[in-house]
Amino acid sequence: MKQYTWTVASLPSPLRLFLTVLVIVFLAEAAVMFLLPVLLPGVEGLAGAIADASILTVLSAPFLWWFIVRPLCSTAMAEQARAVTIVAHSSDGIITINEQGLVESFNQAAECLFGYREEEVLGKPLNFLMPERYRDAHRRGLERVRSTGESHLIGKTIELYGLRKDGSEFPLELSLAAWKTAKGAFYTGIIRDITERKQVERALEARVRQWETVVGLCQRALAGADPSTLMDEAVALVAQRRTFTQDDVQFLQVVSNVLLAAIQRRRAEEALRESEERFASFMSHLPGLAWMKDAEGRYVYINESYEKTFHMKLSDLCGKTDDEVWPPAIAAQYQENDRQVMRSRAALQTIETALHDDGLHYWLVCKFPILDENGTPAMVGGAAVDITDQKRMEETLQALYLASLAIQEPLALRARLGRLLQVARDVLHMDRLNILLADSAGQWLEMVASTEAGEPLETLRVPIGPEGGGLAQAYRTQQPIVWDGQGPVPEALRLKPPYDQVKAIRSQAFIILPLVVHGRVIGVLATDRRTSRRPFEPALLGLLQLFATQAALAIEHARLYEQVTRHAEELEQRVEERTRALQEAQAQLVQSAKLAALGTLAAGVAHELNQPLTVIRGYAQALMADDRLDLETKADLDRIQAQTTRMARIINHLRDFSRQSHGTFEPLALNQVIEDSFTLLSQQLQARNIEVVKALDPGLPMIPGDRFQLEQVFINLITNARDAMQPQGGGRLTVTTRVAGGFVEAAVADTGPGIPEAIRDLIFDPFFTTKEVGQGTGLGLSISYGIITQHGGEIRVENRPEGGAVFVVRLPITKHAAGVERQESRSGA
Amino acid sequence: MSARRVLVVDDDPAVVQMLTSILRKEGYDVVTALDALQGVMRAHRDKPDVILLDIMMPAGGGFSVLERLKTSIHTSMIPVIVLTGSVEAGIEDKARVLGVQGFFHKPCDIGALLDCIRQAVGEGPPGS
Repeated sequence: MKQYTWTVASLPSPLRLFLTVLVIVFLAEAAVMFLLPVLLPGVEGLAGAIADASILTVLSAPFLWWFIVRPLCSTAMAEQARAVTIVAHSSDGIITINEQGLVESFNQAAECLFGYREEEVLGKPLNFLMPERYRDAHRRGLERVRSTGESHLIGKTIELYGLRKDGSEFPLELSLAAWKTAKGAFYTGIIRDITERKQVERALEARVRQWETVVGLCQRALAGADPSTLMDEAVALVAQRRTFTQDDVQFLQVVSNVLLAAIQRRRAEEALRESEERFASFMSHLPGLAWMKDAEGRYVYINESYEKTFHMKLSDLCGKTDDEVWPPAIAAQYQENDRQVMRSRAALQTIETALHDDGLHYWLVCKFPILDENGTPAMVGGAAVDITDQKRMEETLQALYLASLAIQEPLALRARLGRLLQVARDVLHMDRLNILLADSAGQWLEMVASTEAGEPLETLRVPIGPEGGGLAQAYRTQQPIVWDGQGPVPEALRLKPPYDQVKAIRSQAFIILPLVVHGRVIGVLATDRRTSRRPFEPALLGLLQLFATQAALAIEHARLYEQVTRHAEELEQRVEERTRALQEAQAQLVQSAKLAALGTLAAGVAHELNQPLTVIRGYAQALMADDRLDLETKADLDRIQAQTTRMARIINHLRDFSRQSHGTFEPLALNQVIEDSFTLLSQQLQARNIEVVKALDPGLPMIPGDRFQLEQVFINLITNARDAMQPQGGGRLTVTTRVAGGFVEAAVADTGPGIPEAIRDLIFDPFFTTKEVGQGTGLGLSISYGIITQHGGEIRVENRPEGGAVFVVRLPITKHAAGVERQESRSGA
Repeated sequence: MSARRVLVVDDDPAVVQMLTSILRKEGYDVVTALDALQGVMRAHRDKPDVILLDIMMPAGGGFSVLERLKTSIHTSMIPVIVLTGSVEAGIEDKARVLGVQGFFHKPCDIGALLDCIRQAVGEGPPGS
């Protein structure tokens, strides 16, 4: 083996060796060429050449030895020793075989591995060192190497089993090298016992399989497989072994822990899933909107309502901020509220606006912080319900309320109704509103207010009957009529000609509401909308009814107000009349009181005067019966008696004036009374050249009264007229009678100066006179006043436009008829 | 037949004197009283056939005289003729209710008065 190893030892570089040889040959030749002529002059030819070669050889031989051979030899020996030492002390088995497959070397480690001594195996085929199953392959490999010089194993490390001397196999690792010498090719195998490594590897693999099993079990557990099945599998896996190792116990522990964790995890997951399902179900059925945004304001969740409402997908909206989705003004509003929630960490309820397809909507929004485990707001949650309808309803109600407040003002209701209808029309989004009221006879519905300008309202009226269509029907039935314009209007609701030309109520979609106050229908509220518009909202009818009720009340209030106003005016007028009457009555009362006082006086005076008068008259009468008296004396006595009669009459006047008269009422012809009055005075009037004109109505009815008293009145009036005309003389006295209402009226007119306005109120006062002293008592008119009043009549004085005064006496025709009867019966007793 | 007696009751002496003068000329026996009390006393004492009675008088007034006369069995049958200057309303009705024979307002017609007296005492016209 030593002779071979030398050849493979590392040599001085061949180039250096080559140069060394050349140097040595050159120097030796140079020396020969220099020495040869000296030593052997003249030797030429063959001898010279031989000499030359000999000298050269002698000269170069020591150098060649020293510089070439000796280093080469020592190097080869050192190399061989090193190789032998390595082989001998290698822990790996090193076996070298030749081309025939016979063992060339077999080191100590190989001896230990295989149990053979080197002597036992040297020169023998390698077959016996390998199990039977490798031997064919080994032989084929050798043959192929021998024939082709190639082997796929050379330079590689393979694992296979070796066969020990005792027949046992063991795993080994074989590294194969090939090298060639002059003797042929050799193959050296370096063999390492890998039994332990194999064992470790197997253990490791088992572990890996266990953990793979555990992982598999975990995965299946997490995937939801039944834990008890998994546990069974794990136990079965372990039970395949005959004995339980520490590892198995550990394995099972791990498995059970894993399964426990898996079960818990699964429960938690199930709970979470259920919770999430509930949440999702809840959220998807929530009518309102729900969403979550992270702390940076990016959407992380929206519910289905949100998606539907704003036509957005969660996937589209996720991760976006309000700025990217909404117009700036709206986004700012949202973000401000979000920030407030994050700052305050408290829920916030507010109203936000959102942009919808049909414009701005109002949402009642509750925003709340979602805290993480540290209590820091991590998200903002929000929930919202659309309160636009409520909001609009509120606004509508508010507007209607204001409108109804306004129509509570009764003044100028009709003037204002039209404008209020316009308010109602705008807030209710109707096209037209009209109010028609029934007339007092219940025959017609008359338009009193309309949102349509320019309609001649007064002429718009429809009969309450079949021709009146829906308007009349709503009025008659007191039920609202709603026609939403789907299809042609039913015949019953259609206005018949010529009323179908009434523009304000001709429509396709309409609502007619009866106006009802205190259970009584007073008219209808008719409203309509062009069919192209959206259909009637459900709340509309309610709102309209509300408005109709208010309007009906207001109209009724206005009517009542008008009535009250009218009544108040009437009342005022009556109070005025009464006041005037009262004032007159009071004036009369004052007059009467004056007269009564005078009457009392007169009564006393009359009595006192009657006494002496009785005596005078008595004596005068007694004397007249005396036959001894001459005619002259009797004539004087006659005058005395006449004067006492006159005095008695004066006293009787006073007595009448005191209204303690015993005058009797009887049916009288006033014309006759007047004629009688004139018989007493006609002489005087003639004497004063006064023209008397009598225009007496022959058809005067009889009146109840006291003939003498009334005669006295007319005597007074005629006398006054005469006196009034006295200064001028002449003049005309006109007496007229006529029937006026329930009265007989007599007027005594003169052509005197008339009554000065200043004394008109005084003229009926007792003792008031314009005549000179001694000419009048001032009682005449006063007594006349008392008499006429006692007859239930009246007396007044006026100045005639043509000059002069006229006294008018009015006496009732029938008022004292009962009194007449009583007086008659009494006087007959 | 003795003269018929007339009692004149009046507070005015002039009236009493005038009536006395006239009635005596007519042949009556005249007794007089100047107030109500005297009138009643005279009526009881002198038993007149007729009484001319004034109403407004001191010491009771004509109506008290009239009531007493009419309630006394001695005087209730004596006819009474009222002759009054009063103008008080209802006075005639009141007197007639109390049963007077005649009623005259002053100043009265003497002839009518005398006729009434004659009628009251059941005599015919004078001279018969």
